Amino acid sequence: MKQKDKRLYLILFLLIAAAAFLTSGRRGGNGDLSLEISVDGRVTRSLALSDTAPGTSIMLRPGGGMNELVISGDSVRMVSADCPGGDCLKMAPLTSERGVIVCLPHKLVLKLRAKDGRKPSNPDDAIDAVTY
Amino acid sequence: MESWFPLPFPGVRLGLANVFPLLALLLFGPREAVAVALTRLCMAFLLAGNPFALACSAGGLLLSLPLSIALWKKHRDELSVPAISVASAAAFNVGQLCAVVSLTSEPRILAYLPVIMAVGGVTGYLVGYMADKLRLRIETALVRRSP
Repeated sequence: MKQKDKRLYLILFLLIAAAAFLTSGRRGGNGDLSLEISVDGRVTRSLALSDTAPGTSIMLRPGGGMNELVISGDSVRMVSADCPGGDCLKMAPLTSERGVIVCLPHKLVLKLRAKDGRKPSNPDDAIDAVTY
Repeated sequence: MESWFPLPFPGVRLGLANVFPLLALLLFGPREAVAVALTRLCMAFLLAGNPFALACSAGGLLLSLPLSIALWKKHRDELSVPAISVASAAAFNVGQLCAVVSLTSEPRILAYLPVIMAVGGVTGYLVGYMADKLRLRIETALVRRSP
């Protein structure tokens, strides 16, 4: 420990606390959430979790790739993908408005939002297949 | 918070290999540190072949290298090596997330910042501690060899 160490640690701690405070936001209930699927920053599809049967599996083909996600009740997770890293498969399931699942190679982002049922901006990017 | 725990963010690695660029900085200087860091970046890309991991690391290094070099140059006497390493780790995390946000245009990813910064702070401290000890050992070994 040198003399300025403590000051540096304190500054960092405050930065982390500030970041945590700024990003915390409001915490949505589980009732009226909808899943928002976006590719390359554009929302391509949004569907309400409450309208979706538990165990619904959705196939997506973002930019030539393949991703499969499963909606089970109030959580959403990625179950298969053909991207090189497979990092999106390891991400925590979405359960609240706070998390996000990202498949970086396919520029695919999944997140939950308070239900509003937005329409896809481009019908070609919409879901290719839904299985129950 | 709870939903982040299984794996807060894809590609989270502890970054313990950052001991080597830091050690290069301590033993040889800024140029060598940049060389080691860039070599490591390229080698990781050649071995794993993941351009997105490359982009994230490059974004991190863009911030962390200048910061750690500046701290080492100007505040070496007032800051310990672990402290410099912790600051550098935090800068790396910020750069990394900025890279992800710019690739996906999804600002919500920034919500991971506090988590990875906290984890990065701990590993940053370990990295700094190890680099400091290694430097001491290498230096004493060199002194012993050349009387």
